[in-house]
Amino acid sequence: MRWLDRIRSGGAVPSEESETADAPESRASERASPGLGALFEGLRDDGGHSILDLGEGSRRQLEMLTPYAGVVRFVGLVPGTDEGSRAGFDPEVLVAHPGHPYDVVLAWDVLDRLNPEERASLVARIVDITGPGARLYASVDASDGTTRQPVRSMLVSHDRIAREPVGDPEPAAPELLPAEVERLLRPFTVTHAFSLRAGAREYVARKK
Amino acid sequence: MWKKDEEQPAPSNAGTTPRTTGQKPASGDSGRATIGPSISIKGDVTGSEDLLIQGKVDGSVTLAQHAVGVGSEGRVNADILGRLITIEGRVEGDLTAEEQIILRGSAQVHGDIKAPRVVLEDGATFRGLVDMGANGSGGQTKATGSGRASGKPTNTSKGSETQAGEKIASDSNPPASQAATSPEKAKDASSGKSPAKS
Repeated sequence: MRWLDRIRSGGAVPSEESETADAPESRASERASPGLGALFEGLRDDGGHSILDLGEGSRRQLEMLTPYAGVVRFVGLVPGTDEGSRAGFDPEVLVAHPGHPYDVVLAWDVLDRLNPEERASLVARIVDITGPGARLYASVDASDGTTRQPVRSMLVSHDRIAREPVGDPEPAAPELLPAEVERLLRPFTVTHAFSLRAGAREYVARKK
Repeated sequence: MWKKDEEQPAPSNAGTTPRTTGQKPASGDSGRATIGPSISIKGDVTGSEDLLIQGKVDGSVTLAQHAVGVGSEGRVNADILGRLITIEGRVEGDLTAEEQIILRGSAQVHGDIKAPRVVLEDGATFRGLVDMGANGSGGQTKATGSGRASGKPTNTSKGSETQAGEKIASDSNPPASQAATSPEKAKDASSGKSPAKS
């Protein structure tokens, strides 16, 4: 659909991965996110959703999400970027919203940075605090290497994200293979899975 | 403990209307108090005038009808209730405003936000809940900076290769009229391999 994007953008089509013009750091980059595109397609823009974003709140995130939700929780669950997360993942940081179970969850580069026990714990907690039919977007780093650069992901548009490096590279967690993701997400039905050239995989799933 | 503007001009105008040094508040108009950078308060802060916090507060801040600002040097570990709340410094606690909450670019907030109108500027970091009304109907978000939100997305990712990479699965539970395909059966467009066999 590059021709459509070209028309919308007045001729300029961003490449798959490009420098972010107004990113806070020069190392920030931008890439397409078909998973987000698939997620947003299924959402109503009447503000009726309740969104749990495992990333940190930012201007762009809030701007993009509030048309869909009157309630948005930003968890800032980026393991390794602060002291609390280095100590291990605590499921209780995922606070339930009384009266409004989350029906959309955004999990940015989280699963691949937790150990296997923490991954299962995270998914179980998400199941606990979401309502029936809740949608989950998850991205995982599928790049090779013994170290991994933590990044903060931010929505740029409904199908593009900006990725900004945060902190120092850290030892890579055990690789999260597609089959393992499917096992982890058993409480959900994976509706979309994308393997990106940029070295990432994206999943969109609905709670059973 | 409390320093009026008349005594020491505040280095920040966060959350309050600036007033000329030496200017007296109009009759019936409450002035603005400032908690200076060297001040540390443990306890509940209440009052009937606008407040700028440049120091440290642990406890609670309740100024329901007034503006509350946390300046760039402010460190607040407290719930804040005000009419208009503007944050430039660091806050751990819930923010509740009758009118508006503004997080400036230097703000670091860990807590829940509840207001009809919320403004986040570029650079502000936030962890917590944003509640602008349960159904979002009364809420309004304003974001300042160069970016802008685009409208409702159109279908750019289904059924064909995207510019980002190869679509390896189609929708098996489609929101619209779309054929079901198991992700495990879908082929990687470039390698021809099943994604589940990596």
